[in-house]
Formats: sequence, C-alpha cells, structure tokens
Amino acid sequence: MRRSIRTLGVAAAVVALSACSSGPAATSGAPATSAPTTSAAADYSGVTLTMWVDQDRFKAVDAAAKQFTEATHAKVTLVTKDAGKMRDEFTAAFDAGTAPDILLGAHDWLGGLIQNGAVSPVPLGDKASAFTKVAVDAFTYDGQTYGVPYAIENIALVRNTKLASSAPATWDDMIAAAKGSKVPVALQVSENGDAYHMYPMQTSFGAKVFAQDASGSYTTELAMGGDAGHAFANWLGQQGKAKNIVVSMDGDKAKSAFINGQTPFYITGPWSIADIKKAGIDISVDPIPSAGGQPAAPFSGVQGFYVSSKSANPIVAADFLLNYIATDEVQTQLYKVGNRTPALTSAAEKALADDPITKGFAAVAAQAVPMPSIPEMNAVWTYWGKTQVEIISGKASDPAKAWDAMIAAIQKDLKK
Amino acid sequence: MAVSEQTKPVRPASSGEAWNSKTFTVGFAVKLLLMCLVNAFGLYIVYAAYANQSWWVLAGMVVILLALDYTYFTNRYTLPAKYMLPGVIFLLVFQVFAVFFNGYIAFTNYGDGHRLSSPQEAAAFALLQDTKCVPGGAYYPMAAVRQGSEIFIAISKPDASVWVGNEANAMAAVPGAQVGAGGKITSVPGYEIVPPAEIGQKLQGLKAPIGDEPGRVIQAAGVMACDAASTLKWDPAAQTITDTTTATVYHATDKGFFLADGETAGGHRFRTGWQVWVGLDNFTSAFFSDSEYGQYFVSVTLWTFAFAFLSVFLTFVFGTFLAIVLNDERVKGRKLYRTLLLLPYAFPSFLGALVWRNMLNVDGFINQILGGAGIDWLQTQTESGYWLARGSLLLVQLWLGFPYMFLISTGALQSLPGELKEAAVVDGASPARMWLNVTGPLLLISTAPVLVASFAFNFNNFTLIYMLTKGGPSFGATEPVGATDILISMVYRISGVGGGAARADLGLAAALSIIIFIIVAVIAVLGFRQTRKLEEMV
Repeated sequence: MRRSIRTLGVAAAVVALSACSSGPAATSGAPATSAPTTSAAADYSGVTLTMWVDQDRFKAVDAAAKQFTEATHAKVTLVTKDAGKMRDEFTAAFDAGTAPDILLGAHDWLGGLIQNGAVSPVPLGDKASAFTKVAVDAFTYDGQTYGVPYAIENIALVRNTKLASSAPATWDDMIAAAKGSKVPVALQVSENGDAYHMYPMQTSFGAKVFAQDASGSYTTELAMGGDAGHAFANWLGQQGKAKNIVVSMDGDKAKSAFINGQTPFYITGPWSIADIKKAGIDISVDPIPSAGGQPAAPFSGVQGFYVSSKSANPIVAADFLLNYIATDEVQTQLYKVGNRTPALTSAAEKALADDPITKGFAAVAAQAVPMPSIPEMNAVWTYWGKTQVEIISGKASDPAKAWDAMIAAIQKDLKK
Repeated sequence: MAVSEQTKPVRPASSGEAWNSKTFTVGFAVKLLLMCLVNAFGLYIVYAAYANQSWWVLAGMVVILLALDYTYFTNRYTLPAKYMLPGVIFLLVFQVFAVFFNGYIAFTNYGDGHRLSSPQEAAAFALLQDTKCVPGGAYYPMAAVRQGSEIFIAISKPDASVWVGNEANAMAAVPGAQVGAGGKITSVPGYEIVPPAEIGQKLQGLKAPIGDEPGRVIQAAGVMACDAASTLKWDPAAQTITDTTTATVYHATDKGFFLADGETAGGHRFRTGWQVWVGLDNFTSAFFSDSEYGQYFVSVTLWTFAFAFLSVFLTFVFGTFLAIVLNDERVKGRKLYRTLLLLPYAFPSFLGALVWRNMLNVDGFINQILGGAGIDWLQTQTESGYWLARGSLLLVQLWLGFPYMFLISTGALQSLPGELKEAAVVDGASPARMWLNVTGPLLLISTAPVLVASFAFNFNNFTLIYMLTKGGPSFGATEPVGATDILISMVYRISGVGGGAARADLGLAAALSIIIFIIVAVIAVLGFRQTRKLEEMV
C-alpha cells in the first residue's frame, strides 16, 4: 500500500514521456499528446511563497528561487532557521497560523507532521521515476507522497588512512587496529544516548527496530526484542566496560577526536566531511564493521521539502519544488554543500562519478534501511537512547533485563 | 506627555480645563504627533487582523484605540485615565491575555495529534490523505475555472477535449474549449479561467467524480490533475466519516478524534485529531499517580521546594557571613575583597552554569584536581548519584547566588543605625547577644522581601537546571523526568518544545504551570505576611 507510488511513477512516465526531465527552460514546444509538468512557465505574479531553509543550504535554494521568480514572477521569501530547531518551530508556527509554505526537513518528521495535520500531499506525478526509489519511499506515507526529496544520507566508517592502512572487517578487528590510539573509535553517544549512530552495530546482531512487511514497509511490531536484542545489549555492556564506547563522547568530542588524530576511526555521516577535509586529513569511507556477524546496516535518512497544509498557494509551491528544485543543477549545488547523495538519479550519477567519498557512503547506503517515520518514533528514540546509556555506563547491571524493560515501555506507548 | 504639560509656556487659568485644542501650543503639537503614530500603528493592527480574519483582535484593537483617543482628546473625567491607561493596556496585552490563554489551554487536550481546531479540519485532512492518484492512472494538465463564485477543476485530455467538474458536478466534456501547447487550457466556453495567482487553496482537496465509476475522481496533484481513487465521505451534519468500501462509519468523538462504531479508544484509525475541551483531565493526570508524569508530581514538587529553600538559605547564610566579616573595619583591603566577591554576580548565570557543567564533567577540571577520580558529578544514574547531582547543583547555585546576598546584606548592615549598636555596647551586651537581639532581627526585616522574592525566583529557576543538568540524571531509561527536575523544567519537558517528549502535551503543561503559579503566589503572600509580623515585633 505505502509503496504503490513506485508503480505510479513508472506509469506516469509512460503517460508523459518527453518533457519531464529538464528544467523550466525546455518546455514550451511539447507535443499535445504528452502531459508535461513543466508547461510553459505559468504567471504567478502576486504570489509570495515563504520557505524555511538552514544556513548551509540557503545559497543553493536561493539560486533556484531567483530562477523561479524570473520565470513566473512569484516572490520567494527565504527564511534561515537553525536546522536542529526547525521542526519544533514549524509546529509552533503552524499552530499560530504563521507557518511557511515550504519547509526543508528530514523524512522521519513525516509521521509527526501528519499526526498534526501539518503537511499536504505533493504527488510527484511523472517526476517520481526521476528520483531514487528509496528517496520517494521515504516521503511516502500510506500511499501518498508528502514532499519532494532532494538527498539521501547515511553513516559509514570514516578512516584516517595514515593511521589505519586497511578497512577492518569486524568490530574487534577495528578495536585491535586502533590499539595505541587515545580513543579506539569516535562514536558519539552523549548523555541521552544516540540510537541512530548505534543502529548499525545493533543490526549486525539481527535486531531490527520494527518488523517489515512483504513490501518493505515498517509495521508497528517491535522486532528488536528477544535473543538478538539481548545479544546486542550484552555486547554493548562489554564495550562500555572496556571503554571502547563511552557515554561522555558527544558529537563535538567525536569529531575533534578524529580531527586531532586521536583515533583512526570515526562513525559518521557526510555532514562531517567538510570539517574533516578542512583539517587536511586523508580519509577513506568504508562499510561499518560488523559486531555481531551479520552486515551492519545503518539507517538511511532522506532530506526533502515539505509543503504546509495551510499554505495559501500549494500549487505554486509544488511547481517550484518539482520544476525548479528537483533539477540537476540545483540538486548538484545542494550536493556540494552537504555532500549528501542527491535524490535525483541523474544528479546522483554525476556526484558518484567524481567523488570516492560519496561513493563510499553510497556503497554503505546499499545496505541501509530507511529510518521509520511513524509518530511513535519520538518515544522510541528517547527510551532507546537512554537505555543504551544505562547499559554503556554500567548502571544497568544486567543489560538484557534493561533491554526488556525498554521493549515493554515502548510497547506500552505504541498501544496508547 | 506629562513633561510637556509642565514645560508648557503659558498655563490656562482654569486648570481643570487645562490644555485642550483651543490653546494650540508646542505640547499639543507633540501630543498630536504621538497620537497620530499611535493611531497609525493601531489601524495597521486592525487592518492586519482583518486580513487574518482574527475578529477578536480586531474588536479589541478598535476598543483600545477609541479609548485612547477619547482619553487624550477630551478632558471630561479623563485626567486620571491619562496616567493609568497606557499601563492598563500593557497589563491587558502582556499579562492578562497570556494568563487567560494559558488557563484556557489547561482545559484542552492541545498537543501533538490535537493541533487542528475542529472536526471539519481533521476530516478535510483525512480526505486529502485518502484521495490518491491511481497507480498507473493518467495525469492531465489542469486549470481552475469558475462560474460566478463556484470553482471547478478543468482538465485537458490528450485528444484536446476539455472536461470540467467539481464535487457536486461529475466531470463532463465542454465542447468548444481551446487548448494550447502542452495541453494548456486557454478558454472554456461558459466558464472563466481563474489566474494561477488567484487559485490559492481553492483546488486543494477539490475532487470531481468521474461519471460512471464510483470512488473514482479527478483531483489536483501538484501542478497536474490525476485520476484518483477516493474511499472516504465526510458528512458535516452528522460529523461522521464513512468508508464507502467497507461501510464503516467513524464518528467525531468528544476526545478529539474519529472513532469507528463499536471500537475502543485504542482502535482509532485517523491519527490526526483536533482540540477539544477536556475539563479537569489535565489537572487529574498532573496529580494522580497512574499517569506518566503524575507519579512524579509529589517527588518533583518536594525537590522543587527543597531546591528553592536551600538555594535561598545557603546563599543568604554564606553571603551574610561574608558581609559581616567584610563589614568589620579591622579587615584590610575590604574594597578589593568586595570587588572580587562580586565577580560571579557579574557573570551571566547561564554562562556560569555552562562553565560549571564542563568542570563537573567526567573528564572535567574538578576530576582532574581530584587526580582523575572520574566521577560524573551531574549525571550518575544511581541512588547516590541522584544526591550527588542535587548536591552539585546546590553548590553551583551557591557560587552563582552568594554575591547577590552579600551585596544585599552589606547594604542592609551599613544602613543600620549606629546608635543601636552603641546603646547595646553601653548596656554591656556581648557581641553574640548583640547579633542575636539587635543586628540579626534588623537585618532580617530589611532583607526578608528579597528572600521571599529570591525563593519565588528559584522556584522557577529554569535556566540553571537546564544549563547544568537538563533535569538529569534520569530516573530510568523509560521514565520521563530526572533527579534534578524542578516543576518548571518538568513543564518544559511535557510541552515538547525542546523535543524528546514522547508526545508534546501543551494542555498538561499549561495545567501544571497554573499549579506552579498558585504555589508561588501562596508562598509570596505568606512570606510577606510574616515579614510584616517581624516588623511589628521589633
């Protein structure tokens, strides 16, 4: 059901063969038999779109906005917001009736936004097939797409090639290779835990967060309990005892440990690459080593643009996103600021062709699983992270028992 | 305004009728200018309120403007109001409105999942979600057209025919319509094409049935229209949503969500609910032990009292002690000491808290002094760790707060009349006796209001808690609060503003903040009453 957008995309592509690929310029002479999304730029004079983006991505989006204004005479007001606070501020603004028309965000906000009735469906139509499938799936909820994806991101093992000459195959290999370094591996935890960065290690024990149905959609049935979960919990306890993983290592400390050469290994995403490059460290991006024997599959996250359900001009917003943001040019620009693999297949191919680092992340992405976006994830993240902290810090003397308590609490919340 | 009244060169003889438009002076010109600005600003708000259809704001603003103009342009009965009105308006806007709005929220279930305002809005959203482009279905160029004020959706098919319809009228071909390049509809006989800039939200959720197939509709999908399937029907009169494929009827419940007949609360299908009045539910779940936060209400309240009391007590005792020591003329370099002691006060408290958080970290400065003790002063999740964190919190609070008390006490000590001391010395009182019977009580009288205010402040000292411990160490991975959480930081967690709450519950947060207000108000009243008693005693 949730994945039906795929077939829709293929079918739509058949309907509209020709004019679907390019930007706003190549449109007007399309034959009447096709149905181009990019009909000769409409005249939207008098319309103003407000859009929230973060500082990093402002420039790339601004360029697209200028193009849009030139072609359609619609005004686009860009507002820069702190990426970490955008979601909460959007919810507050939505209540106050001052929400922007378009919001830049991560796909795992989707469930919560839908629960609050805050975002509109944005059917991708014939554009759907131009995006990577996993990106479209991530923005699909119960068979509807709710946003235009622009990039895919996931974590991988970043290795300082001077300090470690080869990629470790297993977690233990990695720890052994890091012997003599001040820090075995830069893996961020912080006091509330970080289940996102810990997830590949957990999946290597076969403990996936939710069961997936035949089509790959998540159900609300927890799958990380039982023996696999216990095995991971016990392993986490051991690693905590051995000080391979420490609670006080937060995001900043992990990054500086790697940049200062205190550790050869750093489990992180493309967002850290810019700082590492600035520090002049030679790196290689490898798959995350398995701790439990099975492949270590991280979560994949998809970034994209949402349209507010209270937007006064949803059609103009959709036009802007589909025909001016989802273009090769803009996607490549956006790729350059965050190093995240573009969601548009054509732009992704270009990015992969010229960059071994992006290629490294993309190779790991092949194993990655989409982060669940159901509203209950809020509760899951909180319990999950805090329980991991208890286990790592040794507060939970019996990791398996703490894990069971967490499962029970999450299940109670899911039933609410 | 009052100033210009005084500096006015010639004052009319009859002072009661003073200063109206009949005597045109510089003061009047200034008044006129200021009132012009006020009126311009007020009219702007009226216009903005009209544009947003916020009728209450509009009405309120009109009343305020009329009152202001009447007060400042007439003289009958308005002299006191000229002084009072600005203050009253600010009080209404910034205090009374906020308090009442908070009070209103406390009786609703406002929060995640209940942010929309009515069943209509929730149903509209459910229908929007439900209507999906058919997999493999066709996409058409579309336009919005109208007849009078009625809006229709128009599509052009590949054979250049144009079809028009809306909710009440199934899609039907309109002969004679013109289609341009790319299927763009250029004219439809009998209809007027709505320019894209005017369409706005009108096409959002507009569905036109396709004649022969039940459940199949044409709807706007992005910039195109698509062939879509729709299974839900909304009946505004009965407030029900009907699933036409399974004939299930979902009723709007008084809990703020749609529920199928015969199902219990857990089985509701639509996630998106709306705000409803829930009476005292938030207050009961704030107090009673079976709810998520309620079970911690008593312990958090006790800790809040302990924290506020100990904060005041410790800083006052330490500050006063230093004040007494440095008040003695025999101490050399008093000025230097006093300046140094005031330094923590010159620091912004959140900065001080952040510095202390780093120093108390596992590998922070304090542990380095202790030779790598590796103690997590603020976040150790054991029974003793809870007390360690609370103790550390109070010590940081002492460091941050004693200079203020030192300042207050020094001032109070210096203002004590010297004769009293001399009289006591003449009477042969020992220094201890003098302190107990003369200096101490006098000091308390002048500092008591400050102590009461300080207690009220620390009762809601969110900055320190948030910056230092964030309420942690947590009582457990699945528990919503931590050992150093005070009531206000618990409210912050519940509101979900900072993220991390399982469900942002603004109704419950508002209810708790009302309870906090009552507690603080009662304590302040009692405190000030005690102060008066002290004054009468001496």
